[in-house]
Amino acid sequence: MFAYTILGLLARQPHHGYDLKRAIEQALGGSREINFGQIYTTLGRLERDGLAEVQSEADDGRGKKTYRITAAGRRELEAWLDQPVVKNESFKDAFLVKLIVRHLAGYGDALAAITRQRQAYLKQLRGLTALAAEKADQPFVSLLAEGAILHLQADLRWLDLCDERLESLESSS
Amino acid sequence: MSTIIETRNVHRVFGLNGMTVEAVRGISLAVQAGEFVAIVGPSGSGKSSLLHMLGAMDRASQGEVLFEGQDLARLGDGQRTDLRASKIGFVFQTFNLMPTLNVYENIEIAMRLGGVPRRERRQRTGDLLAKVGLTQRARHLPRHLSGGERQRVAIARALANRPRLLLADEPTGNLDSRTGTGILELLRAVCSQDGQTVIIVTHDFRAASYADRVLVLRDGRIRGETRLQGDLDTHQVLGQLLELELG
Repeated sequence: MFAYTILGLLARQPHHGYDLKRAIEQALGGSREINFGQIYTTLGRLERDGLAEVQSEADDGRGKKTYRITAAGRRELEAWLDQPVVKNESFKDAFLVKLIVRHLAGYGDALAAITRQRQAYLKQLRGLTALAAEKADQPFVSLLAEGAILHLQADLRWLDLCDERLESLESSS
Repeated sequence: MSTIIETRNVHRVFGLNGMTVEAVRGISLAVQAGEFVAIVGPSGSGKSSLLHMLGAMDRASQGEVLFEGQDLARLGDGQRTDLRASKIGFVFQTFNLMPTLNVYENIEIAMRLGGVPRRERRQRTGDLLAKVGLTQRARHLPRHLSGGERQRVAIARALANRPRLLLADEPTGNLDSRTGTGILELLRAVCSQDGQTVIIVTHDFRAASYADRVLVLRDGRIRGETRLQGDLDTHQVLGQLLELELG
């Protein structure tokens, strides 16, 4: 993902490492510091794969390199941008695994586990709601927060379903 | 802290075409003065029936509802009406504003019914309009307001007689998420700044996350209870989100 973020910035115009760092941090709402190591490692990999290249090297002796995207890099970026995303990873639910193991181990009392999980989700939801309100003027950050909120709302509904199904399972066994 | 309202094994049974439906099946809860409580559950979970009993608008079939220690079942209809007018504010999902009265009049009429003198009515209505951010809309009729503005009028009206308890049925039900957030922040401010007790029922977990305490209802019973006091550091929340997103 990070590599495509950098390719995207290079597609607009050539950048050196510090510019990239600043542009990414700005897009992230100033909430996170990107380290240079991550940027230079990624640039090195892009260069090795022929997706980006050094355009010029400053002659101030500090070796500040300016990078630009190559034609192959642009093709790679565009193919990635146009490829629809398939949801798989986000269906994984670590709490369901715990519920299954709890059942297999014969521990029972799924309700207590569900109640604890609901509390954790509600606390997260409270934080995200505050975040979405605070960053309402930053479109991408607030979209990120709103997306997480919708996921959590679905997770909370799903916990109700877990409660309903497991209650009848526990009472019938 | 003192308990403002309490239920003890309360039930509500409705008769429908010769069949009986038990909407509330033995709920015991206690709400402290100054608390913000959300009762959350899917439709049919009994949350609205419970809220109507808490607001002295409906009687329990069995069990007790105590307001400031007083059993509501022992009150006559007149006493219940007085209690509702003086100590309980109710915000309906459908707002229930008077269509021919403007915003100012919709708020003021609640005080007239409560016997508040004219000068004080003017003062308090002005304060309430400022609190809900509708000073500029005072002379508008409800039909010229947006959904969020109507809900604000409904909240101001419910607060008109300075009730100790404010009840709201799906306060964000008819609003988009941004407008709903404004309403929830208003309710939280009512609770934290003015020390009023707020109870909302909702099927919206986002709304529920504003409360200090969340009660989860299913099939007329409490299935879970969660405390949520304190605010999270939004900077940290964003950091964690981005950590995942960027991998």
